[in-house]
Amino acid sequence: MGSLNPSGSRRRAPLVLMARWREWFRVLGVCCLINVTILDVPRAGVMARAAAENNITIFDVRADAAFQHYEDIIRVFLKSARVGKQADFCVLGQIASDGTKSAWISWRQGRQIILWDGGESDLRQSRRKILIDKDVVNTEDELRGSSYLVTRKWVEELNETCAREGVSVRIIPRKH
Amino acid sequence: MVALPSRDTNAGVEARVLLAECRGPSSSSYKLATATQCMQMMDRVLWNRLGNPGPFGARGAKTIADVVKAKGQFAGFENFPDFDSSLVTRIQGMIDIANSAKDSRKADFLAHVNAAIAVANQPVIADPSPGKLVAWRTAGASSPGAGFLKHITLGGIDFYYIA
Repeated sequence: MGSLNPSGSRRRAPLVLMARWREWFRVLGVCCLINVTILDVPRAGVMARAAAENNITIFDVRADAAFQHYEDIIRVFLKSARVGKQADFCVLGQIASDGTKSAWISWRQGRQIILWDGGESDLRQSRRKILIDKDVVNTEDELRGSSYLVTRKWVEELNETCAREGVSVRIIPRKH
Repeated sequence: MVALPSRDTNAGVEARVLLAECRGPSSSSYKLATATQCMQMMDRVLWNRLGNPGPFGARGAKTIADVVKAKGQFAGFENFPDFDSSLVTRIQGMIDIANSAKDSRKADFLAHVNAAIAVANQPVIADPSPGKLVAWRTAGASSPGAGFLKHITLGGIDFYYIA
């Protein structure tokens, strides 16, 4: 938006500039007042990577309507768990070979990885929560058909992929 | 009012496992038909394990409860009939919505819970795989071990058989 000045160049109207400043204050407010920090913002858009061994494709949760409210979902979860300390998460969207989307949400301090099926589903009611200190084994031989145990290698690879292609979120509780 | 079968019956145990493990109506891209198919395959897995419980940590199992209580096999069910608090929240949450006259999601949840009860009570489907269907995993969570072959991915869950 703008108007032409006598010299013919485009000049921004004061109201437009004020609106821009408002926008910047709003952005700053989101960062400072709500205390959400996006630590790692990889390139926007669809980031697909085929994980051949598992037939999984990675997708960007920020670009998907059913997953882009991941911060709200994490906040509700933290509130219900009464976590009053800084909490760091990494969110990695995955598409299974049947097209089903879900996201692994890794909570560093909580030492758990929670599966989120998107939509309005609640992390407290997740169908899969992996407790790092309890549900992780050293080798594939120790799985013995388990529906939920995972190997240490799988956890490490998930965390590496998430750091590279997922979205990191740090939530700092407000000081009263 | 919908209610699950008693937890001291095979159908009661199964219905709870199916509701705990299959993708529910709150999730994105949920389809009742897919969820029902997923439940039928899980049903097949549980009965196949009851037929041959030894390899799955349930040697001597006589009931489905014995199968799901096997150490390290089904999250939150090791101490059945007591089970993990997050499972209680998940399962009870579904039943509460299914029974709530005011909740706009009632129809979907009622259909989902009824599907779990129906599958748990109906005859088991034939093995859909070339061998015995014996395991499932969250899609992308890797194989459940050596000797397991992937049959299909359904509702974000990978099903495995042994030859």
